[in-house]
Amino acid sequence: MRAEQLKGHLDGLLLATLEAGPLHGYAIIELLRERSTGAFDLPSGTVYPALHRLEMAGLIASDWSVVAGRRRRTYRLTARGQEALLGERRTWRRFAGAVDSLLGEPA
Amino acid sequence: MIETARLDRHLRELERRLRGLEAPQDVIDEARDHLLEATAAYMCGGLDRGAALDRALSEFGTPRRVAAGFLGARCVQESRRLWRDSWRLGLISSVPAFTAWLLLPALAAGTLDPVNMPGLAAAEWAGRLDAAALAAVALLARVPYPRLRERWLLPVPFLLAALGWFITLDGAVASGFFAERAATALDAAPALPGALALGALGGATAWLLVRPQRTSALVWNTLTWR
Repeated sequence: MRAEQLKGHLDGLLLATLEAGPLHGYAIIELLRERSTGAFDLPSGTVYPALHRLEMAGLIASDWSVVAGRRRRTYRLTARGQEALLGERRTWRRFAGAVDSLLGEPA
Repeated sequence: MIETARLDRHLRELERRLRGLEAPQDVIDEARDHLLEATAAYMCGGLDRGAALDRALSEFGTPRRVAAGFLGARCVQESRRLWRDSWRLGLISSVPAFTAWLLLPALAAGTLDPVNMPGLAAAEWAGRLDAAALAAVALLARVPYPRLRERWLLPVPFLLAALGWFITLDGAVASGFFAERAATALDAAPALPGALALGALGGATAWLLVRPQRTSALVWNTLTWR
C-alpha cells in the first residue's frame, strides 16, 4: 500500500503500535509491517517525521538511551495520545462502516 | 570500511539538508540507529554487508526526501511559532510607540508649541518606522517559512518597531515631555482616549492582516504569554 493511501490514517496507526508499550523507530516500522501482513510497508524516512510531529503535538514522548554504543530514541504513548487513539478508533469505525455499507457485497 | 563510509556520506548529506532545523543531531543519531539495525536485520536474512546496507538505505529514503519530511513537519509548527512571536513582539513594541506618536501632538497642542517642540519630529519618524514595521510584519507573515531561507530576516520587523519605540522615547525625553507631563496631564486627558483608540485600531488592523482567522486565539495567547 502506498504512503499516499495512508494519508490521514498514519498518525492513528503509529499511536496504535505504541499502545502495547514503548518502542524505538525501527521496531515501530517492523511492527506496522508485521501486523498489517506487509500491507503497510512505508519508507522509513516518512515514518520518522510523523513520529516527531506526534511528539511535538504531545501525543507521544521519547527518551534516549545508549544501545550497542549508539544513541537510541524510544517512543511511548502519553495520556493525551491514548485519548487521541480512542478518538481515531471511533472515527475509523464510523468511516469503515460507512464505506462498507456502500462498497460491501451487494444484497 | 567502504560501507561505513557510505553510511556516513548518506548521513552527512541528510545533515546538510536539515540545516535550519532544531536539534538536527537527534535526527541524524536516530537515522544512524535505524540504518544500522536495518542493515543487521538484512545480514541476518542472508545478505552480505554491502547489499544489506544498500537495501536499508533504499528503504529509508534519499536524504532529500527524508529532510523534506522533517522540514515540512517541523517548519509548519516552527514557522507558526516564529511568526507569532515576531509579530507579537513587533506589535507590543510598536503599538505604544504609535500611540505616543499620535498622543504627543495632542498633548503639545495644549501648552507646548508644536513647531518648536524638539521631540515632535523624532516622534513623527518613530511613527513612520512603526507603521513600516507593522506593514513588514503583515507582508512577511504571508511568506511561507520554508521559502524564507534566511532566519535573520525574521527579527527585522521587531527591530524596526523597537527602533521606533526607542526614537519615540528619546524624542519625548529631549522635548521635556515627561517633565511637562504633570502640568499637561489634565489638558491632555480629553485627547488620551482618542489617541489610545487609534493606536488600538492600528494594532487590530495589523492583527487582521497577519492572521485573520485566528485573531482571538492570538490575542489570548499574547495576553497569557503562550
